[in-house]
Order: sequence, then structure tokens, then C-alpha cells
Amino acid sequence: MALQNSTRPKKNKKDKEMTVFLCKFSDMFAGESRKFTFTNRPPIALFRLEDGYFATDDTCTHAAGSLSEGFIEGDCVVCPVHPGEFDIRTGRAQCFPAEKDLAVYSLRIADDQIFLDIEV
Amino acid sequence: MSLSEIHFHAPRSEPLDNARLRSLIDLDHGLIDRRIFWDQALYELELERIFARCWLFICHESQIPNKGDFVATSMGEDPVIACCGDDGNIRVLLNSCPHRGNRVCFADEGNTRQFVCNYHGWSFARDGSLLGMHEEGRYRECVGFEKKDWGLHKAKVATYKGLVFATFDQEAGSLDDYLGDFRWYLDVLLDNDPGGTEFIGGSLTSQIKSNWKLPAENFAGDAYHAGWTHNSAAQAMLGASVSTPQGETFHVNVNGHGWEFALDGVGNVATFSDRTALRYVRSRQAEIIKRLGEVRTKMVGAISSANVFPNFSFLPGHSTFRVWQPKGPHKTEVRVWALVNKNAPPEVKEAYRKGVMITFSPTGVFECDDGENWEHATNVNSGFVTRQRKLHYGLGMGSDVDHEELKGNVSAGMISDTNQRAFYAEWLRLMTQEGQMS
Repeated sequence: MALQNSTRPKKNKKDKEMTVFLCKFSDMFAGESRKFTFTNRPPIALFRLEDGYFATDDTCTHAAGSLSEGFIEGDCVVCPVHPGEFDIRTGRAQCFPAEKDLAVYSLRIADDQIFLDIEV
Repeated sequence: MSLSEIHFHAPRSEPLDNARLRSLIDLDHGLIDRRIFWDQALYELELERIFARCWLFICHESQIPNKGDFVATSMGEDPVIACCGDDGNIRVLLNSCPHRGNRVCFADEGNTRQFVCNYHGWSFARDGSLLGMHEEGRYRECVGFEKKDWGLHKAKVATYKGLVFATFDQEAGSLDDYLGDFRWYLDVLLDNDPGGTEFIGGSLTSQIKSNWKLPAENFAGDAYHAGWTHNSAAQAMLGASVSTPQGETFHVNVNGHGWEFALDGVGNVATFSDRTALRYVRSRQAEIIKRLGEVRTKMVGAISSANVFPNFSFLPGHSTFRVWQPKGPHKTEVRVWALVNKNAPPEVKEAYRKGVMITFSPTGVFECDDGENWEHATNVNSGFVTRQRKLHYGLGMGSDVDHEELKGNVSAGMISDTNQRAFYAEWLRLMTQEGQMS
């Protein structure tokens, strides 16, 4: 389920902030997730829910599970290693052993393309 | 040794060398030493040389058809999980965390995404590989630690027409070789319909205070007990005593597996109080003849019992399958299922499910008779003198016959100890690690 994309961020106007093209809006179906790896920061998970796309850190805040390989249940992703859960929209940890919230990232959509603005 | 001899000065702990093992099983004279049903040291050797090496029955594929479906069972006293992986393949995994040894699964069956140990949160994928653990960062600093080295231990798995077997012996020969010509007989149940088979209705589990070999050898060949032990149950279910079947009856054995049977077609399925299953068997006889021929068609519902060495037994006529899981030399866990053709109508499946519960379940009218006998046949051997008395297994010696159609080692007459002797010949072969399967 996790498609491994290696994307090098492009320089944006602001210092230390990059804009990254992730995929086209039509590339993923609702309930799908993908992992994006970077050379200079931890990987990002991209989730498509019924009403749009959401991005979070890919690595579970508990151990080292890859959340893009997890299980989407409603608005939550369940870690594939220990069944800790996070709200995909807010990153909020839902249950043990997920106790620390997950970082979430805003996305921009332009011309059917999804971009991530991210600090590096 | 004289039959009346008693060793008052026998050493407390005799070495279990092959000479001693051979002295326990005297196949030429049909004599069995009772200590095989009692001694702890012999039992420990069975776990090593039989249960850790033989192909053992695990489950039916129909129990775990979907990704993540699992059943927990055991191989000898080793707890295992059979799980359908993400690739659809069934794996059999040791149910013990490689970190501190705790079980990683406490349910008998279910569906799961992973198996997580309660102790330190080591988490294992459905194929047994180690996914991660609590405080995983510490392990990244642990010199020489590789997650790929610390998955759940895997057994070797193979299937025969829906039945899943596994062995812990990675050098073991194929399951097909292990079953050999016994497959021809298994097809009576597993391949009498093109749609294949399934287990229905969950399973029944009970414990009896018996050595595991007593029920296993009983199913391998003991038609003899039925007319006496089960007389009252037969009276209740059939309105008559168990009669000696008319016509030819047989013991057949292959590699220590045994099947005793008459060619009456419906004698055992007739013991269900309801006649739905009986009518189903009768209605399909012409169709089954086309698939299996006349002889095997007469075996489908017949008076019969069978055992796949060491501990997987079934009653072909009742279509009940069970394993005798050893839990020490004097205790056995019995787990029972009902097998039906997938294509059978729902009312026929229900008739088999209820029929098995009424006849051969922990409270079944026939099974209660058996458990009582096996428990006393085991526990009487606590007596110092008693367990030195040899047991007679000499019935049916020299009854071997050539049969133009039946496969394996065939002998005439179902009232016989022939298959029981074959069971103990294989037991001795494995315990001594000498000789070939026969």
C-alpha cells in the first residue's frame, strides 16, 4: 500500500521551507496511504480520506512503525506494529501505546496537484 | 522375560537406550509394556522423537480462509499458531516470544493484524517476522541485534486436500511421502465430492486423564471394543446392539497410520439420532462410485475408525475429526471437529454437526464410554506391580492378505490388533531412530 517516493524538496521563498509536489489529486483512492521519504528529514505519510488529503509524520511516535503501512479506520490510522491510533486530521494520539501526538502538515492543492509546504 | 516376572530390584532410572526401548514393544509375540503409558522419561522422549519430528495435524484450511485468520493449537506440548498471511499462505508459528518466552497469542482462534507479546510489546507480523517492540530505539543501539533474526520460530507446513499439517523437522520428507498410500483412503472423506470439504461449527475441547496413545491406537484399529463398550449407547441410538458387520472387514495400515472398516456403507452414520445425514450418504452413492469406485464408496458412512500417526484421528462414518494433544504422560487434551462437504445442503451440515455432538463429543453418548476406559487403563499403572504386567496385543496375527484394490498393508477382519501393532511398530521406529517406514 505504501508507495515509496523519493522526493527532493525545491527551495521556496522562505528560508528553510520547501514546497514539495506529492501527487495528483486523482492518484489515490479514499482509504489509501503513501509514504514519502526525504534525504534531510523523516518520512511523511499522505492519507486520502473521503473528503480529501491529509499529511502526517510517517513514523509512529511510540516505536518505529510506518503509519502509511498501517490501517485506516474512519478518521484514524492504526499503527501496524502496536495498535496505537492517531487521528489523521489532527495527529492526536488516541490510545496506548500512542501517547505523543503526531505532527500534521498542511497541503496545498493547485491544478489537480497536491503540494506540501514543509520546513527542513 | 517371563510374563509373571516382577523386577523388585529394577533400577530407579534405567537408561532409555534402544535395547530398553525394543524391550517395551514385542511385536512377534504381541506384547506391550505398560510403562509406555506411564513413564515420564518415555514421554519426554516421545515429545522429542515423535512430536517434534512427525507431520502433525494443525487445522483445516476452511478455519482460516482470510488474511489474518488464525487458530492456536499445539504440536506435542509446543504451542503454535496457524495464521493465514498477507500472501494467502498459511504459516505455523511457535506461540512463544523469542525475547522472554511468553505466549504471544491467548485466543483459540480469531483474526489479527499482528501478535503482540504482553510482556515487553514485541510485535510479530502474520508471517511471524518481528515488526518492532516497545522502546525500539534502545534496540537500534544494541550491538549485533537484527530484527530479521528474531521472528517467531516457524514450522514446515504442507496441506493435503484441505488438511493442514506441520513439522518442526526441517529435514523431514514430504507430507505426501509421510501419508503415502493412506491418501487413497483419506480421499474417501476428503474427495468424495468435487467441492471439497470444510470444518463446521467450531470445535469442542476437553481433557481426559489418559495417555495420548490409548485413544490414538483405539481409533487406528479397535473395532473390537465397540460391541461391548458401546452396547448401551448403541441400544439408545439404534435400538439394538452393535452387531458384527456382515461381509468383508479389514485393517489397513500405512507408515503407522491405521484404518479399520467394514464395507457396510452406512453403519456409523446411522448412529445419529436424525436420519438426514444417512439419507444424504445413500443419495450420493452412485455419484461417489464414479469418483472413488465401489469399494471406497462403501467406506463413506461405514462402521470404521482411523488414525494418522501419531495423534490425528477420525471416524469416517460420523465425519468427526480430533487430535489427542499430549499434556503429560497421564493427560490428553481432546479437540473435536465435524467435517462436511462444502457442497452439502445446510440441513445436512447441521445434521452432521448435531450428530457429532450427540455421539462423539465430551458429552456424546459414545465418547463418554471411551474416556472412562482410557483413563482407568492409564491410571491403574500407578501400581508398581501393575505396570510390570505385559498387555496382550496379539489378536489377528498372520491375517495379512493380498487385495486387488485395497492399498497399504491389508489384513482381513476388523476385530484385530493388527493396526495397533503397526502403530507401535512406527512408535518404536521413531523412538529408536532405527529402520524405515512400512
